[in-house]
Amino acid sequence: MADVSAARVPGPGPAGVPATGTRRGLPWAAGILVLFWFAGFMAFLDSPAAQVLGDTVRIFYIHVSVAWLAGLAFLVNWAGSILYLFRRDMRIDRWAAVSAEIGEVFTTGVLLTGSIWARVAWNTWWTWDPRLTTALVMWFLYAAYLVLRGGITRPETRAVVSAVVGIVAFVDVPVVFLSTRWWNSIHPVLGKGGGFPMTSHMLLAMFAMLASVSAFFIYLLRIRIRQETARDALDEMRVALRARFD
Amino acid sequence: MLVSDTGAVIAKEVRLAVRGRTGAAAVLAFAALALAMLAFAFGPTAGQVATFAPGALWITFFFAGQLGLQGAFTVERENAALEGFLASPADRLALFVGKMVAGWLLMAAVQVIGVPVYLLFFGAPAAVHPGALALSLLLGDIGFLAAGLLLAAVTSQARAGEAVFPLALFPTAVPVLLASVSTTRIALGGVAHNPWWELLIGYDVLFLALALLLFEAAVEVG
Repeated sequence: MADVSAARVPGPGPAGVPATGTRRGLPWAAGILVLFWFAGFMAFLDSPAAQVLGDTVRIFYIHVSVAWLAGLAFLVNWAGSILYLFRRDMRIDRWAAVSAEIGEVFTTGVLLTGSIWARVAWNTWWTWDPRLTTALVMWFLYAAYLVLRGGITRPETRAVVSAVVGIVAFVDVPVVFLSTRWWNSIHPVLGKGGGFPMTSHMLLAMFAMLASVSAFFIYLLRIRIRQETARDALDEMRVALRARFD
Repeated sequence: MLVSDTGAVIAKEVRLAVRGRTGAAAVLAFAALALAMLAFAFGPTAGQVATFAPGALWITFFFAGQLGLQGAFTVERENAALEGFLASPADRLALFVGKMVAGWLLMAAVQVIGVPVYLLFFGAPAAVHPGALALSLLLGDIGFLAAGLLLAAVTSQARAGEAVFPLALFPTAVPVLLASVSTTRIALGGVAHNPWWELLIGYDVLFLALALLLFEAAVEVG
């Protein structure tokens, strides 16, 4: 047993994986639940309905928060991809991979909530609007990124390949937006006067939801980083063990 | 150095494409078949060529180009040809530039045959601008090939690389598809009032720059 644990010291890979289990995350989870309870109260009960959109405006609090964090996640992936090519540190690769995963899940959420809202507001589930098209293309790009990661076993190769694809994917997103922008957008724009006036309670609901989703994002990021670190440590041990018996 | 190395890569690519079983012949046959299938599916659309032709043509070129590119680096990995190239004193960018030129020759062959035949089948629109059409095809090819070669190089390292390659390529190439279709529509006498030419050129520059920057990282490992 002692021999095996010694096997994880050599090499630049993951060394000390925190031994504490998921129990340390429990207060976090409880805190996030409380945050979501408050945000839900603000969004669904306390804040007023909008003048034109009525109660459908309530989906927008979660839609905008999730969209914002999906963008942030892909930004983290992009920064991590660039940094990895310079530093060649597997920890950075884990950050990039995990944020792409969370970004993909959140983008799915954006597309679903947006679609539900569009059915009510625009009387259609989908329209080829620039924002929607960009979000969909982004979803496809990172789906390819994640599928590609799954197909490479050697960690260093996987990291370099993902970094290249991650950089290309994120640079592509503004171009997709630009190229689809020449069609007129019907998507509401926040804070540019193109949306709708928000009362103070609406703003509070918005920020409460944004805080909750951000906390949830950080929570997911921490869990996935810890899992991936543990997985890499396990792989290293397995390699060391095999070397010992061969 | 770069020029002569590039020349050697181009010569080798062309030789492979002409002699190989899955090279140029397969791509050309696929393109012809795809255009015929599109014609069967949409029926005679004479008089609406400017509306349908740009989309039909570019979808065909994209799929044909993808077919041509997907083996571009897996073939280099067989028998460790890539390692041999990287170990040689040849300029590494020559591999990219050479494959780019060779890929363009293949796409240009598809287009030189495909566009006139398509227009022959459906009746050419009255106001075709040959110069604008050629420029649109050339600029579309550059953007598509730059992104495609970079992604082909990286996906060739994955187990199911040839399956993942189109999954990564097509969403990446969405802007070039939109811009190429629109500029081709302009060249065929259709209307597109937005700065599509600028977007297409900007996309070409962006993806050439990215490919040149990242190509060494993309081929070094494995």
